[in-house]
Amino acid sequence: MNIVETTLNGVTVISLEGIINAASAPKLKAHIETSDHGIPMVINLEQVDFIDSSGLGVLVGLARKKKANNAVLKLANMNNRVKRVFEITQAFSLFDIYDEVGAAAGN
Amino acid sequence: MTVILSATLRAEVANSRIASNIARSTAEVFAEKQGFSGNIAEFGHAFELSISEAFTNSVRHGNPSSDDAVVTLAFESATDALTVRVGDKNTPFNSQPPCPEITKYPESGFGLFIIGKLMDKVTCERDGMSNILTMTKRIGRS
Amino acid sequence: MNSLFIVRETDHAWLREQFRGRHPLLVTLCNKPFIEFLIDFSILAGARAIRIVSDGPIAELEQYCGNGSRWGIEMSYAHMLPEDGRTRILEKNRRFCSSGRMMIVDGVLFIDNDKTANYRAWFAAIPAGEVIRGDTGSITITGEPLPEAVVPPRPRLGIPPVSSISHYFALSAETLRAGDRYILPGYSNEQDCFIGRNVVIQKGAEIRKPVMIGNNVQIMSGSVIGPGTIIGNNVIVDRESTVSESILMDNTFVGEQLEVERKIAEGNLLIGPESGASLLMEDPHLMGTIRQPAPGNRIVRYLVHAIAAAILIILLAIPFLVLRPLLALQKNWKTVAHSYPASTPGKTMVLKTAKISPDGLTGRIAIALALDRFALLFKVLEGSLLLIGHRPQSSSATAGVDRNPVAFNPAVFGYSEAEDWAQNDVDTMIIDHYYALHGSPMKDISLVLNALTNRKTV
Repeated sequence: MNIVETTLNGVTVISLEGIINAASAPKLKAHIETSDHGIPMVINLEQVDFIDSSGLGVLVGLARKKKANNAVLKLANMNNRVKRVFEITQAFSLFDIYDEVGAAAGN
Repeated sequence: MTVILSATLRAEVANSRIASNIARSTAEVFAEKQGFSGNIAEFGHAFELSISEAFTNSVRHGNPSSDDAVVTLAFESATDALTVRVGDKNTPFNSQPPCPEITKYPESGFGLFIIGKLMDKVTCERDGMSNILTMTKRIGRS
Repeated sequence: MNSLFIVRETDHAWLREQFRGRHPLLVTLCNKPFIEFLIDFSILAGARAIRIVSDGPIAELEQYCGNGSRWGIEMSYAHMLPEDGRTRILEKNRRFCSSGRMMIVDGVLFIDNDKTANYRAWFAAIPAGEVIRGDTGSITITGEPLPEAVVPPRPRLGIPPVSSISHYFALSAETLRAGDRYILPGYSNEQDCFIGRNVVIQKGAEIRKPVMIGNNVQIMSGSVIGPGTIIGNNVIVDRESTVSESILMDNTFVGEQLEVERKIAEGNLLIGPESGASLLMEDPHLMGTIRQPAPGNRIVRYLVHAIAAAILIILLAIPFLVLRPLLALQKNWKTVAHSYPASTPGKTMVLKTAKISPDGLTGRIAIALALDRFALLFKVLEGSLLLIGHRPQSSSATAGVDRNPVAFNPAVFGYSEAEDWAQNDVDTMIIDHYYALHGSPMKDISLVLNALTNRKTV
């Protein structure tokens, strides 16, 4: 899984590409741990083909950290396969979910 | 019921992608062959995700240094359903755990719950020193 | 134009409680789910794509609507948070909303309209803004109208309140009588009369318009389905009952000689729409009246079944002796022993059947001739099984019903196999119990023949 970090409108956009499962989730977690949690962040899932509960766990952990700072983690561009995991676990209630990165970054 | 595919993989996290790819392909081919009129990709994804979860669980709860650290997959087809059995040599576990409370921001514990929601039937049996997690999904009437 | 349906968990929550946890948009009005009426209207208004946005689980809706190909449109689904306002929701769906003209249906369950009116032209021409507002919801148009379009006269449009069971009841009656205004399910060569598939109306039963009947419905002799009645799918109305101005929801069994007037029947609940009061029908499938027949009758039944089983054994002996070894060679014969509840309460019995896959000609013939149950025919001779009765099953869906094991007659074939429509264990149970109540030995034989001809070789 590849991670590309850019900035848009002063917002950190972390674009993920590939698959987020037990093998790749630790890489995501490590990357996020080094990010500044004070700045608004958007995770762009447009190139994410598949995610399982390991990947979801990392995102939920990040959402919790955001909540501690009174912010909500924004996710963008989920495909149907990714959406399904969020639906089954009801994890959608923990995030702001957008269908476009620009909107998520507050363009 | 006919066995259509059997595989043995070393219980390493890196292999979970292989396992879930095998599951997805097998499920999609099965669905197409049976003339499933519903969403074949969705049927395949159910198996892909379930095996990703099951395989990861087997790896996480096992002892990686032992020679026994393998996970077996066996796919069996019936006319209206596909069954997969995941075997490992770990200690027994509860195959129907309750749903993690999402408002508590849980970072783990979803695996078996997700499988339970995707599959029509999930059972766990002991076979000697092995666990066999059996999951079945019907393709409904076409 | 695209259409966005905003569905909040708290909207119409009373419907979910009333109708057994089903999503409010999937509750049926005149045998058609509310969501489908909304989709029909959107298409009428010119929408090519519809997105449903909800702050709650949408799996049920997605399961029903799929990708929209059924209606020739694209359907997609998105999540929102309960606290999101209109602006935030549009931001979250900006890509979907970027097509220009948008119709936003927010918190609406039902739109009063007329399918013969021209909504497409009207929606294309009116300026952006709120189009109509009801008690709980509204319809809004965003984006620029067609330049220089003349706004035609406003077609019929309303958002009726659906905040209580009495609203639902009134809306149901009005929709049934609305004739051409909506696309309603069921065949009708007359106005005000809609009949589904596999509907059996026995001699002596009467239907009075306006009426709607769903699929797989049996109206037994002497019953009157009075004016203004809507019957759902998989319903049996037993003899000499009258049902008028009422709604029988799916999977309901109305017993003999009952009078149902201005009520909604759902499962074992009878609801009075004006008062909202509901009455629990003591015996949803009237199991209490099913008793084992008197000893004299039991002997007659045993004899009839045993003779029929003996005949079947003789007829099937040769095919069995020929095919069984062939199938064994093809490894297509797997003996399975399972234990099931017996007719004596508390006891179980072990039954051996065979699993045959319908691979190859031999497999398919064997299944068509019911050879997998050949061994069970001998049990009929010895009296421990009937030829037709309840198909032995150990299912959790019907576990609660086995409270009354007096009624349980394990058999080689189940009554539900004589019918064709049982989709799940509850349907099977309804059919089995109905025939246990109304069966007779001779009727049983004709049902066995039905069950044999119904054998699916797939």
